[in-house]
Amino acid sequence: MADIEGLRTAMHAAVDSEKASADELIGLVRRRHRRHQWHVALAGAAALIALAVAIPAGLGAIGQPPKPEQPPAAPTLYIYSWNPGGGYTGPVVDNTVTPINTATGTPGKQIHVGRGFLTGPGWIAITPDGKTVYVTGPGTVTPINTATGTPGTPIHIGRCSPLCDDGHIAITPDGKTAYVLTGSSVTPINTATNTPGTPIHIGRTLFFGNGMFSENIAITPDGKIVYVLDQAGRVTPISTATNTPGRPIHVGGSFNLAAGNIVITPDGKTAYATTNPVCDTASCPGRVTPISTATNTPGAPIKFTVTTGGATGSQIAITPDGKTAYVTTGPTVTPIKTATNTPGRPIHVGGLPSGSGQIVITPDGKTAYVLTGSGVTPISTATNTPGRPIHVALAGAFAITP
Amino acid sequence: MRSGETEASFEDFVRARSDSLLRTALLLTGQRRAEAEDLLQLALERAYRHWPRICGSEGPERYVRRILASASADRWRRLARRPEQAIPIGGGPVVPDRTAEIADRDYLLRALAALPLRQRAVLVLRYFDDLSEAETAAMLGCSLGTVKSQAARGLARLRITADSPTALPTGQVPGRRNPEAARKEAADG
Repeated sequence: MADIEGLRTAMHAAVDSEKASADELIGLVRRRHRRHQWHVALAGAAALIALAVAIPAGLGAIGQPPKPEQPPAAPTLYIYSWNPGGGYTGPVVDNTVTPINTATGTPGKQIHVGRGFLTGPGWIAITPDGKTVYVTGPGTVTPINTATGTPGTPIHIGRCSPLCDDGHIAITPDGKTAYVLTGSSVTPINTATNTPGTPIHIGRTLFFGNGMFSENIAITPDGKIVYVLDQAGRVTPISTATNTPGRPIHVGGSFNLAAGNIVITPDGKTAYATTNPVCDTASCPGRVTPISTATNTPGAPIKFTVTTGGATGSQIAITPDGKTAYVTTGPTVTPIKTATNTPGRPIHVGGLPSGSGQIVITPDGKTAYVLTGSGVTPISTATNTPGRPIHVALAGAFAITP
Repeated sequence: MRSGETEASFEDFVRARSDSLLRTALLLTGQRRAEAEDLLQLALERAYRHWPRICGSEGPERYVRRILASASADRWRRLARRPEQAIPIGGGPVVPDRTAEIADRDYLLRALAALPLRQRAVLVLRYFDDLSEAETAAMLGCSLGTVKSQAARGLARLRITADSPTALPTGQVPGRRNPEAARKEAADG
């Protein structure tokens, strides 16, 4: 088959119907050319100015190297893992946090945050000033000083049931309050004193009663509303001014939902909640519902098909410019254009998610990191292509510094 | 200052030849439309800078194709230093949903996209653009021997992947480059 004629035929069959938009191309080429000319002119002008400055400054100044501009520090990933390196060796799990420099991909010193009996790590969040990492375990929240890499005294919060130890956590944009999910309630923590406040009960559901599990939590950029997604496919808004819950918004397509997540656009206008149904086939439906935060009403669900690899839980993150939401399910990452709410071509990152398949995006918006079975895989948001994974064993959740 | 005649000549050229040039760029980039368009814009912009001279020559298209090929070559040299990132082509196993012939073609193209950039460029210029070995060598700025060896290696690889279903495993993303292999390819010649 792979004779020369076959190759020739295949190549022609593949591209012969492709057409270029000549007028558009001419315009782009001219613009590109003008930019090139402008750069050349600018470089010439800069050289002339440099010369004009250098001559009066005298010979003493010549030869001194210019001071390099300090590049902004690369963000750090904090990976929350259980018993990393040694594999799963017994019922007692050693939870650790590993900082990873995103510029080099090299891990820093592991921070041990306590052992649990058959309980892996919960969730992780970083304060907006980047000074403190909060990690949750069963019934506790542990602050970590990022400057010294040392854990502080665990904060004890109520525990809902042995099954809901995820403890998803989010921190307000002013950094003053952390909200932690504890089953059917949300506990605020004062980050200045690390003391928990009164839990806010977000109600029962017919199907889950008190044992309802909250799935995830997001806070609007103005810090006024906390949105909680639960396993029944409801999103409950909570006013942070009064810590009182509002009327739930129903977004679930079914009552048999896989783990989901909720995220809010940087302009605060839309929340996106993922509510995939539980599905055990190789190819499953994905579902994301936009919610108007002005009216707390759901829009038409965005539906697409994902390759699940057996895991239907779904996570979501939005680029800082608000233009693209990335939704992970199994080894599939689906980009969604927020302007039109249309899903794009899935990106395959390989491997099964270990625990969450969580996704975070760097503050500059250039890279999305996805938690996969083998570690953390970067995706270039410019090209939507995955890069080389950073290996991290048994990671459960992670966060990135601002 | 460019004359109106020169501008019109460039526009005529782009209108007449951009489809054909884009097709070559598509094959050079492993059918990544965005990269192919960028490569074509780059080649045309370089040609535009010198258009008054080029349009007076006998073969402006030949000149532009040469820039296209050398820009593609620049790209693989750059990627040899900085590992190429994977591309999601197809996104899964090829299923012969219509005819075996279409599946074979698709498979062959996926295998072509998975080839090292230099081998891919040689095969595209030789068997899509129908250039001679000497012309291909001139386009890519390498020796005749390199063109011969890269063409032979590229075809051999395509035969291996075509004959062995396991050579391009399910889930492999064509175009995913091993940076070590990329460096070696660049060092080879």
